[in-house]
Amino acid sequence: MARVLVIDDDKDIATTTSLMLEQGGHKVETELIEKQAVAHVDSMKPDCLVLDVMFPGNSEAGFELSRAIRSKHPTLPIIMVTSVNDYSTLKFSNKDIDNSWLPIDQFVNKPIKKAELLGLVSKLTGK
Amino acid sequence: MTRETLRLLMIDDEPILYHGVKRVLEAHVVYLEDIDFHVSFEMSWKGSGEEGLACIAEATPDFVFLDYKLPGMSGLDVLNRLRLSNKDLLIVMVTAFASLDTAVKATKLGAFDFLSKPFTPDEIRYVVKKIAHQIILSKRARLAEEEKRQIRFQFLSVLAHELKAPLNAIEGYLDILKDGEEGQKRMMIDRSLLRLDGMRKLIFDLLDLTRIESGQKKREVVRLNAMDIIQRTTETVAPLCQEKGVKITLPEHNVFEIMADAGEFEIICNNLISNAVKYNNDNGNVYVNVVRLGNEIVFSVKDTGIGLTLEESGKLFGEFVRIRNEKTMNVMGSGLGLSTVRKLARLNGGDVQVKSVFGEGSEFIVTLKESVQLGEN
Repeated sequence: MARVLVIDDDKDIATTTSLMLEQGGHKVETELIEKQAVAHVDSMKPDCLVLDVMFPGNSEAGFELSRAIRSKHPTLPIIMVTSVNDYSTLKFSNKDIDNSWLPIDQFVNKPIKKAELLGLVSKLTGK
Repeated sequence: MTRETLRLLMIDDEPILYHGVKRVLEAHVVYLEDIDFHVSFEMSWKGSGEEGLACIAEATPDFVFLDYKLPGMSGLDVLNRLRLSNKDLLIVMVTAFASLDTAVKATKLGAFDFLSKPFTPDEIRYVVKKIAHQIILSKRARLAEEEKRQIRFQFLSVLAHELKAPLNAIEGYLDILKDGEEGQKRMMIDRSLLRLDGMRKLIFDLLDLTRIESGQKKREVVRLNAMDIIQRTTETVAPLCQEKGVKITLPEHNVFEIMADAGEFEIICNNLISNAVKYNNDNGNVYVNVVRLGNEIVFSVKDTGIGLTLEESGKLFGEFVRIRNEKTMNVMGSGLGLSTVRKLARLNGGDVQVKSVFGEGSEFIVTLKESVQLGEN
């Protein structure tokens, strides 16, 4: 069982993501407010993060959050979910992961599939 | 920018002719009165069609003076090649044989104008003014077109994102429902239905907005009783009012005649009154009022809801803007309603403004000019 924090401003995406994780036996908390995300990580000390790319009014909020969190918690695995890959060619892919610009562990496209998500969490946390 | 330099390439086997043109245009500035624009010229020269084409391939000038009778490739051959290459440049044929036949051929191949040898400085100035006008106007049109395409693309991108969000949510619920626990089924179905509802609202708002912007919807400004529409809107939000215990207070008059398009006024009422209920606190109040000030109708909807910060008020009327915080998290909205209200208000020579105190409530005030005075109809 891993302790996972889901950060997404869409309440339903946060709910479905956490239900999927709970079905996989993980313990989950959700954070819907971008500004509270870092503090939530600090207090919860999760084993893994599932982070949305885009928050309203700031299309790079997820990137900025990933940098802020990685600098404080360098070993915390971050899975980034995105629906910005709208086109036949991917706008972002795992190739773009970069320790200074985009310090995450894995990209996952929305809609998230339960099997994929659970597989990733156990791969990244070993739990 | 009200000044631009256009590049002219002259393709002519007689350098002396080029020097003549250069002398005339070097310090010449064309003033385009209608668009208050100054145009000057930068010139280069090539002695044959082949060299000319190579030069154009490298750096396309804005226009070309092309000699009809060239050694090697003829002027018409060059013209033909340029037409096929789809280069965006205007061509003036320069010819000593200004026969009708030549003119017809060259025009068919897309020449913009003619200069017949020998030409006077005035003739050169006349033709470059015509050309400058054409080039600058079409550049402007292209820029405007490009800007429109950009705005449209941006709008569609955001729209696609907004349409995908509920799909993602519903798909997620269905994925879990497959092997979910009984107890959560009801919640997931309820949330899915709510997201579908939000999606439908977005599509409706989108259609309203598109219809207004395209001018497709015929406006019919007639004398109507604003109170009828206000009351009807109030009835449509009654279930939500009951759920939240929100009370709507309408003006005391039962009849308030205005000159307006019924559909437009209804969209404004609907958006403002339903927002005032949706973003209200439980057991809150909504006060609707409509009055006449001079030749303006002032329609206002005031609530005792969550209110807006100054920053939120500033961006509220943009497209797809939704204020998201703990309090709005459960409220479905398309982010198009208020931008539509503003478009409609402006279409009616008025505007919309918001007065708000964070945590205490907001008041939206729409002014509409009555273009036709009551009584004239």
